[in-house]
Amino acid sequence: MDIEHIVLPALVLMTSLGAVVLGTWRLGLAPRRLGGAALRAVETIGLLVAFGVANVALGIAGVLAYRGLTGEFMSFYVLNDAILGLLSLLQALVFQWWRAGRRD
Amino acid sequence: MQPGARPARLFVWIGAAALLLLAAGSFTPLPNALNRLMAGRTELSPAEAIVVPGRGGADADEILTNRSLRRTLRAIALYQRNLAPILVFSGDSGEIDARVRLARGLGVPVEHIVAAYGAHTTREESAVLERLLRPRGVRRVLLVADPIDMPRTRALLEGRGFVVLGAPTASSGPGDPESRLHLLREIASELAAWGYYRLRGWL
Repeated sequence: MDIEHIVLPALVLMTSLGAVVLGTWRLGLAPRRLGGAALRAVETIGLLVAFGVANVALGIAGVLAYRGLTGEFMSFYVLNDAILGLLSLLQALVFQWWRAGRRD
Repeated sequence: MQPGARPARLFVWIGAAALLLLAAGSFTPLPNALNRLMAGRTELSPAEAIVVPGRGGADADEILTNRSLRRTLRAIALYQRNLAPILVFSGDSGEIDARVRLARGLGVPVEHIVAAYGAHTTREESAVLERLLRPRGVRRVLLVADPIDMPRTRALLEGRGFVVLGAPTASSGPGDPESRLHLLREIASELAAWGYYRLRGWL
């Protein structure tokens, strides 16, 4: 394997280990709760996918409606934009924090 | 903040699948393999026309997008190898105009260039191409497109009676994680378009 291929994963691994050390020794976080936090992160990614799919589905319906109502052309490619992914992530994060705060 | 509700199992599974796909798309040659698969066979044989569908248009400065430029240059190179007597450019009007200017600048005579205006979608492009090329007796075409666009475009042109020879642009795919991920997204987008066309009965 080319050494360049492992640079990015190695960087992330090292900073993650650093964060675990910092969290445990300096911030007093419990290592046993790390698994739950990771699970929560994976769940957030799942929410991101759900919001992304919902946004694209709504977008497709909107494009079809626009074409049908105005007779003018609008491309489906307007939906193929990374910004929609970032906005879906924002939606997922807000929803997740809203949900997590339910017991505050 | 309190821990809140327990993780929802459904979203955990969806998230795990998404992360696996992200890892495979970024750090393995999966997108490159799909890219090659979608490119199909390259058949650089003599044809009656070289067809270059639109891809991304041109910007406000009338500069072609990277992909549109790649297609155009490949098509011009094939024309200069005498693989076909005419070059057919499709796409939006700005893209076609920029392509025609480039081809003329690289020595292609204007009478050997066909500008296929008037299409917004791949399906419409195939209809315009049929309308323009059928009267010229063109049946066998060299299709110059990105690998991921080959299956749908090829199927549409074959559906209109053309014999399509594939001349995809470079199909080995990118080598860095971000570009591979971008390619994977493009593949997903194209497969969605394929599904939509199938659903509408256009393929």
